[in-house]
This record gives sequence, C-alpha cells and structure tokens, in this order.
Amino acid sequence: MMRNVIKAERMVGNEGHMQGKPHARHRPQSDTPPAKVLGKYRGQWVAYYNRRVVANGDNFGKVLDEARTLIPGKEPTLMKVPSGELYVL
Amino acid sequence: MATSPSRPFRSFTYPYTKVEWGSNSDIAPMAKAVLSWKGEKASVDMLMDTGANRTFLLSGMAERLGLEVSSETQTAMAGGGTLKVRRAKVEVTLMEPLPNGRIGRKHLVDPVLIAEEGALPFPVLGRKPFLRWYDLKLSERNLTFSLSEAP
Repeated sequence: MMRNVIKAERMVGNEGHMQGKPHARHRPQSDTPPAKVLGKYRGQWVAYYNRRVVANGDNFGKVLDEARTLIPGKEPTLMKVPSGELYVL
Repeated sequence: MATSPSRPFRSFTYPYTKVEWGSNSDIAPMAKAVLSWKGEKASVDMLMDTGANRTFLLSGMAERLGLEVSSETQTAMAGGGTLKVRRAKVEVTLMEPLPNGRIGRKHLVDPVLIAEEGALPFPVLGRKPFLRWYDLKLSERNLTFSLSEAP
C-alpha cells in the first residue's frame, strides 16, 4: 500500500517535471505578492507585507517610509520589480 | 537535541520571484535580506547573481540607510558595459521569505558597491563575499534556490 502511494507521488512529480512546473511539495513558502500583482509594478520599488503590496514608487526611501506609516509595527520588504527587459549582469 | 532559540538560522530556501503581465512573464532568483547600518535597517529582496563578483546596492538604498559612501568613484564592468560605483559598508542578514521569518547570522559586507539608481535593475548579492559564507544550490527547473551556511 505504502509502496503504491510513493509510486503515485513519484508519478505526479514526474508529470510536473515534464510540464516544466515545480512540484507543490518542493515549493517553499513565501510572502512575495502574486506574479500578476507584481506585473502591475514592473521597474518600480514595491513594499510588501504578507503577499500584499503596501506602497510603490521610484524612490526607495519614500516607499519604505510610506509603507511603515501604513502598516505600523510591521516591517515591509522592498523589492525592485523586474521590468521584463532583457539583462545581463 | 534542543536548539537555542537565539541561534541564527543556517539554511534558507527561496522560490524564484515571478512577474506576469499580459501573456508575458519573467523570473528572478531573489533572496530576502535585512540590510542594516548604525540603527537603520530595511528588509530587501536582492538578486542572487553568481556572475557578479561583488555585492551591489543602488544609491537610493545607501542614502536611506545612511551608509558612509566613499567620495571616490571606481569603474565596474557590468554586462559588457561599465558603471561608476562608490564603496561603502553594510551589514547583511539573510531572512526566510515570510513575515517575521527566521534570520541568519549578520555579516559585514566590506566593500559593498553603490551604483547610481537605474544603472542596475536590482540590488545584487554577488559571490564576494557572500558565497564564502553560504553554499548555494540553485534549481531553475524547480524555480527554487537554497543558501546554507558553510560549515
């Protein structure tokens, strides 16, 4: 019985691999906002907390200060959202 | 064996950051880190770039954190072009990608290079000195990467 369960899990894992998708079991948790939400802020700084964008703009300091005002007592994370342009660093 | 609650967390696994707009998408391996200097701090997602031999911040970040930035500029190669950078110091602490996530050991990064806003698309965690302290395991296939404190 247990062998069958393991086999079934492996099959699901392989299926995910064939589709180029990460298996849900291996996906670490993250509080980053969903991809479609981030897509609205390409090239900007966003401050987020618990998967929600709290503030956005072009100035790191202003975005940080605005976010701290809006969610007092909680520490936001800032991200420069990928713009979608090609880059080589 | 019980672990002391004050002991720094030693291994971090991050999902790639994904951005979608219209029918397009982009992914980037970004690690969450707390940058701090003399009482100022900010939690920031930074690009893990094994091709960069230094760690880079953008000038607006250095200004807000109150970093002591050198007046001299130097030239750094980036993507086949060049950019002007200044030197500073900053403390970097890795953090789990969760609200109030567990944190690792604080490291002084000296020098960290400060690029003008817009000269680089992201702040960058480069090889020096970061990969002296952490072993990197990266799986683009699974869209995850891990940083584990080197023994």
